[in-house]
Amino acid sequence: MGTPLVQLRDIKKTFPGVVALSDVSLDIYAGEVHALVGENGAGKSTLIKILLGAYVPTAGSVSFDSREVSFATPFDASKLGIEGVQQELMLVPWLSVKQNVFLGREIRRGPLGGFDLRAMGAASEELLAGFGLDIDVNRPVKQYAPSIWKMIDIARVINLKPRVIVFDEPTAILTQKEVDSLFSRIAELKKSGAAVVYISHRLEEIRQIADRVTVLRDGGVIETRPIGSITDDQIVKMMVGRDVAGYYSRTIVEPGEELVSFRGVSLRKGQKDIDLSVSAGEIVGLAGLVGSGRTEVAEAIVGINKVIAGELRFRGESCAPKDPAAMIKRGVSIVPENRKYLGLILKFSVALNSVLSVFKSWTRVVYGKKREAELADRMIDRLSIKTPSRDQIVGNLSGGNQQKVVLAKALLADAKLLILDEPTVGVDVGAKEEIHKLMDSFVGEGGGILMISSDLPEVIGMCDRVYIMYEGRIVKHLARRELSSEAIAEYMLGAKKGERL
Amino acid sequence: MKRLINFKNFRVLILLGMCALLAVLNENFFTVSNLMNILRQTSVLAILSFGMTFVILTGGIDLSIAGIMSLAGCVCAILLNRKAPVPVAILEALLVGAALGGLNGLFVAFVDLPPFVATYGVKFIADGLALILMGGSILYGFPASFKALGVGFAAGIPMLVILSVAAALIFYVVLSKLKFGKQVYCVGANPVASFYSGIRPKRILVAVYVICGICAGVAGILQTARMNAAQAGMGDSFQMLAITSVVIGGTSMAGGEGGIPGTIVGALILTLIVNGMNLLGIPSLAQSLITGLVIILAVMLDVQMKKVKVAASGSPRGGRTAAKA
Amino acid sequence: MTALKKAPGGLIRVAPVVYLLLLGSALFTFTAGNFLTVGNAFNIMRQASPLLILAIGETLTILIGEIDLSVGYVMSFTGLAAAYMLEAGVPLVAVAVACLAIAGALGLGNGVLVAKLGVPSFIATFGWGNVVFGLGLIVSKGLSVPALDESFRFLADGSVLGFPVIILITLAIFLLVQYAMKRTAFGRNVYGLGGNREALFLAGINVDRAQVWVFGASGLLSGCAGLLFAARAASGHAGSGVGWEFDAIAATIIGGNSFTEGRGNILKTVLGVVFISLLRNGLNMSGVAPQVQSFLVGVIVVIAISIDVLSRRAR
Repeated sequence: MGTPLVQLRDIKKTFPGVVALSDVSLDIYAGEVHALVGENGAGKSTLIKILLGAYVPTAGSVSFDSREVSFATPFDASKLGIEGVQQELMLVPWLSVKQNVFLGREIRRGPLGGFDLRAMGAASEELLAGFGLDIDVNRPVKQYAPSIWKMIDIARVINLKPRVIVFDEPTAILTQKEVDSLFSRIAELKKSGAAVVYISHRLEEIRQIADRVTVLRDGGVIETRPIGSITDDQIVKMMVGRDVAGYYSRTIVEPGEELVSFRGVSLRKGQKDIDLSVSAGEIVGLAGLVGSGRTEVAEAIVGINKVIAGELRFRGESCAPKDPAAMIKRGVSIVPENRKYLGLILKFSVALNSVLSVFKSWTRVVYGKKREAELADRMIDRLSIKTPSRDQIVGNLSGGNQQKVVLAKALLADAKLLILDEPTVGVDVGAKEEIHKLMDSFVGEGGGILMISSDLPEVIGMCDRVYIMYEGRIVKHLARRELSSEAIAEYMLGAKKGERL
Repeated sequence: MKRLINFKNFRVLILLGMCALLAVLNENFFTVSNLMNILRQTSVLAILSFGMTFVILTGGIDLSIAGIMSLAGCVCAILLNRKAPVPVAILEALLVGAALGGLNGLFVAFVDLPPFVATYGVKFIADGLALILMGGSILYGFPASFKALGVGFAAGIPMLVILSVAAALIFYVVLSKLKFGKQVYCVGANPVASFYSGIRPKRILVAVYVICGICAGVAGILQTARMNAAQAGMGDSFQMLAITSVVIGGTSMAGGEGGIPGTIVGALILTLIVNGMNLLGIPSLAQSLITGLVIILAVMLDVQMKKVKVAASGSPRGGRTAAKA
Repeated sequence: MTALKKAPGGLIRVAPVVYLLLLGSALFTFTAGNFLTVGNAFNIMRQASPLLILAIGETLTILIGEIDLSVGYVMSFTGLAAAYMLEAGVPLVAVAVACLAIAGALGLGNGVLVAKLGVPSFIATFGWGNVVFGLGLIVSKGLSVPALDESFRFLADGSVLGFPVIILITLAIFLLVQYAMKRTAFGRNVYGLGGNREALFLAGINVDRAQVWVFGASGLLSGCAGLLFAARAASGHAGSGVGWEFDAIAATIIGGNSFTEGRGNILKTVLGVVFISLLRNGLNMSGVAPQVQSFLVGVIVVIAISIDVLSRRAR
């Protein structure tokens, strides 16, 4: 193997209130495919963004060819030959395919130095043919399907002849034929001495092409091992952590009235048969990977997504939710995943944020400052929100306390059904425990919770029942006694035999 | 908290500084009659700016108020000329303002057009209508009871001043004390979070543009009364001045921040600038140049100050800069 | 050929305008006397030339997701400057070069305000345009300055081999810009800025600077329009371009250019300009009063833009 081409040493990356990576060290060798696996939030994206020059590490060093380097912009990394194929497509929609392939490095000719479109056309046709793509390179990229976009993006990056190439979940939208094509190109890259970093949640793929695999969890490296020396089960166990015990205490309550139910619901073309229900007294979990469609389902309850087939019922009545305002009045509040932008108005006070859902329905025309204060104080007390005063700007609070303010807003709106989307992400341990206690007492008093979470111990510890989604469908429903990390993870990752499309 | 106070003082300081400057140029500056004159001059601009404050608070802009003002003034004048009762003429003009404001609101909230595109289009509709109705002529000579609005006095104070002070009070209460005003700030600061939390941004948006349209209507009526004349295009010079007043007054173009008191200060500062230019003998032709510069500077300052704040709090309107981070 | 999502987008987007054009033309043959004559056609083209050049500049700005409200003012200012220079005896070529340089610089000024100082483009260009307007007013005291130089007027009124010079110049400018859009970094940047800034940034392109150049180009084109307009009017006047930005913007959007995703081209703008010019000309020849014209054009444009936005959302 020799010396690593890229060395990441003791990388630490923090954002306000969150530690994304702590002491991660990684060696990347030329001529090898190095797989990176981990759950949502384990730190994979952050790590490769540092490698690609999009983020600057808070601490630690990056070395390339045994020399320490630092990148001010991604282009600096690019100059060294480090390129990445990100999840977001880096193409210009209304430029032609050939122009996209050569973006920034166009072939020129003639006295004026204008683009040589014909040469670019021929070259890109040849390049894409190597990927099994036979398309008209003169058409704008936008006119092709997303999987073709991805292939063009991949072709563009490979055309740059990088020394290190990072793939971030490349196969998510590709057909099997395209995946095979990609894998043969990756094999070629290996042979030519490039280093390949490959992020994916599809274990069978990793087994096919990777030489070594590194498992990340909670911002740290668990282990790095040659792929042959580790089984899928072992990988899953490392990703997910030890089995849950003792952290979470729930008082199990007999389920009451059915609050919401989906029967044969479809939210977009091609999706079908979403069946799910939440009753009073239950905490129902919705597990799955990022992009599996959980948030879509949850937001349908408050009318942000519309039901195009099937039936949605709320408390027994057929219901077509109009908008969150209408559903809040009926007792449904949502705590969105992106609490900073969707859940709170950061530059306003704790007090105003907590009454955001209710002040509209106060009887007086005048905004009741006193009422705001009363209600805010009540919530600050009940939820133990740590803030110097109720007038403190919410943006200055820690993640955990911000989340409590969002919860306060829902509680003040007399919610009967709470929809929580990743409620404890970016929340410190103490606040996390308090939020869980709150959830427990909420359902104990007759409320119902639908919780989306990627934190498997949390799912197992808190939920009475769990639905698992994979690529837009509900693939499994597990009752409390059937819950285990491995079971959930396997359905989440589609690793269970027979689940693959 | 301290920082906020400093900023507020900052604008008032500029205002006082300008007064001092003008006092040097005009020895009669601090006389009651002159000060009253300045208040009177500011009145129409102030009322226009109040409406604009609502719109800019939601992160939008209204480029049609000059057109609405002209159209409202012309409609009023035409009706008065046809011997319609004064209250009817005024009411019709206000309806025109509300209707066009509503059109703006519909385009912005339901068709999702960017405010500057939507209101720019409505501006042309308003200007066009005014031209059709007036045919390029000027209408003169209105009943005394009407003219009193613009040039009359009540208890020794000019009617214009009374009306603009009343408007200031009313709008101040609406924005700072009413639930509606609170919703305006919420929608301006973060329309998506407001939507998730149960506020209906579309309704608020239509409402603020209607308010702005009505203010433009009032401004048109008062200007007609004051000048005792109406013609198409009579509001043109006010468009930029209104936007500038609001921005100088501290209402951020990003939305969610600012208010009526600041706009009052802004309108006064602008009036003093125009006053000063007149005193210095700067030709009116040059004045659009200077006001153009002032507005650019004001917005530049607003943007730079915002950059400092975005780092601290974070806002979805960070747009392209946020993507880079 | 694999996986095409739908038929080439160009056809679908052009359709509404084409229908409108045909409909409008059919209408006007009945309401106006000389509408469908070669003479009138050339007339329309001559009249539309400055607007077309202006609209091409505006298209560049709109494609990158911004707007330039100063084009009318830059146009008149350039014409005014040209008139003064000609009066002072400066040779035509020098006048052209100097005026274009001024116009380009004014455009770059907009670009700096927007890209480097972060001022929203509609405020920056609105304010800057008014500054330019004011400058022009001060210098000219609001009066027209005659531009009677023969070679200058030849640009607008003359013909070469039967073709009006003004149309030839406009065609040349169109071809030049088209080349730039298809085969230079400038054109690639326009589509990139409008469609995916991040992609340009990652490819190592200086996004801010690219934006500045686009505004500079818009200014330059406004200058061209100004020269031709002044040549046609045989005079320069500070306020001659007021309101032209609306027609430029309207033409761009009616033609089918999108300000949200960097989609479009200047050919579409040509169609938009043809539509608006036909509309105005037809209304004129049908004896519709100028005031009503403005109003109708305003209404039609607003409706057309709304249809465009709504139909795009529905897709």
